[in-house]
Amino acid sequence: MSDTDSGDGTEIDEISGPDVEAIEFYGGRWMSVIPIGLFILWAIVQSGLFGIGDTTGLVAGMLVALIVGMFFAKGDWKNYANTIFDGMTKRVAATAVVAWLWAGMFSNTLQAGGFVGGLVWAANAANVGGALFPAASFILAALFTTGIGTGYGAAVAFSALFFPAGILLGANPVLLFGAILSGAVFGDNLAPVSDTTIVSAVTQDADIGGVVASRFKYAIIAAVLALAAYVFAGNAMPGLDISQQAQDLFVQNSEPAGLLHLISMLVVIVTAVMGRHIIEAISWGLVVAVAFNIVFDLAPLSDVLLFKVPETSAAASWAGSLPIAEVVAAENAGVTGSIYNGAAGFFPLIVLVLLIVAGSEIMIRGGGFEAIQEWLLENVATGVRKAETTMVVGTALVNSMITINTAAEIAIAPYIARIGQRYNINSYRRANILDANTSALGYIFPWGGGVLIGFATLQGLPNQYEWFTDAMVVNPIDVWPYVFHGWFLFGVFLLCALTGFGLEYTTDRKSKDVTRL
Amino acid sequence: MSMFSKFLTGMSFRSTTPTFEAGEEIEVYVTELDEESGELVAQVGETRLHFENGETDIVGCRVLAKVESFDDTEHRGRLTHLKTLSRGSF
Repeated sequence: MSDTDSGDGTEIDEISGPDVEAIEFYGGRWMSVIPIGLFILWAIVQSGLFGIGDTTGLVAGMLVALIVGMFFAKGDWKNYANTIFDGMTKRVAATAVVAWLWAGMFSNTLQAGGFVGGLVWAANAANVGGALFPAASFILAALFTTGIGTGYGAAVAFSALFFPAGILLGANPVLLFGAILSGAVFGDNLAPVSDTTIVSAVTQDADIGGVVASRFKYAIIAAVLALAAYVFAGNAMPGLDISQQAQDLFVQNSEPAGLLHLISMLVVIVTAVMGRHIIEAISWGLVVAVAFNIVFDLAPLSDVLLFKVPETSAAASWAGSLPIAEVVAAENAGVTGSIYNGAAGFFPLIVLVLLIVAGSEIMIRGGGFEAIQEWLLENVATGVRKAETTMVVGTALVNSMITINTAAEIAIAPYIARIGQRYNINSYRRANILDANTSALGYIFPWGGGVLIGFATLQGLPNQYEWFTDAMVVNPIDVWPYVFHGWFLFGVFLLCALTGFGLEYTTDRKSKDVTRL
Repeated sequence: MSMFSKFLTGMSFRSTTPTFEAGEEIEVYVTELDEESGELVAQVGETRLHFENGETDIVGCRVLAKVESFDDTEHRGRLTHLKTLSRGSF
């Protein structure tokens, strides 16, 4: 890159930063694919083959891959090492990290405030029977995930509460599990506080509020079809006959005031779509959520933030009287609460995204990225319709191979950006293709992270309820045809890519400055 | 753009060959350096817009440009580069 004036007085270096040095690899430019390629292989073996959905395990994989790649770099390895630093300090990684931290605090605070309890109350009040229970679970899981942003959290909460209740009411177990996963897909795709939504917007240079508004049309089309399918299948597929009452289970976990957090959720969505910075939007949602928790007695302040002061501390004599502190044995000292846990929950993913972006930067400077891109543009994405189809199918394929869908999304994002920019496809459209197919395919196959987490929760149910037998636990391999929203979302995007429905170009409208997110 | 219209924008089937008006100012990514003509090109769908000015190092950048002329039948146009706005994230 030179520091040439671009013709209008705008220095390119002012825009893109300092000069970068290319990295040469033994065996040619394709060898620069080693760090990312090895990582993808690691992810497939760890999650797909061994069934281990551990994000920190993927961090180890990326570290090993970066070291192995270095042995193939020619000359002084200082350039390779510096490229790792340059990649990790790219703005695309930093913005995702910041947004995740805020999203984590917000979603944990909603959960602490009994949001799921509110939805349980709504299900009970609606008095739906076994045939309609999967459809109702789909709607409520979708609402829940749109609020908290994490489909994995929804898979756990709904598998623990709604699944046994639905079984008692006579809902078909496989269909019900599929409906819960479908709700998780919906929210993971649409929520402004979803990790995948954030990655899709940041990597495609789009603002999050605009991305959410622009993907609503696709999500609703798929959701209406999925809802109709759950109503139909719910009546067609028989449930189990268990002589117990679901009512008690619902009543025990019901908390109508938890529904107030629908307002907290709407505060974030509306302020983000109105064009406010996502950090500001989530901060307002967080303030409202904490206020609701305290004013309506949904959760004490100590559930939001709690200092566990060791009894050996000089402050132990008075700290216990504070609402956000308690005195504990020295070995239990620490900080906890939804703000702490929400942010900390993202730490492994934060480290992983920094390392993956570093690996991508090595592939870019080594020429491997360009080689793959050239091949795709010359052989597959040879027109705008084919380019969009390639983006849809490529994202779906990568996500169907890697358990943790956010990691898969980060790995494929640079290609979606480059192929899309080649035809000046609007940043909102690129972000929507990337996120919809990431969310959909992450909850369908037996090795998908959402499926595994939900399955792990179901396996714990026989220990909680006497009437719940091991035979009632749904085998992950049985559920894939019934994650209707995931399949419809993929189908909608495939159809849109082939027909041009919803296609917008860069020239049609511009995203807000990405620094505003 | 109102909040409501943000949800509805793009609800149509879009052509692969968008058209432009002379005098229009547009933001585009500079796609490539055309080997035959030696000119910079921004490809919007399958419409090709050639630049009358600009250095080769803006390939991949998002730029502000003015449409000088446009041929509806050939889906070809000519642009003047006004300002370089940003590089993509990658």
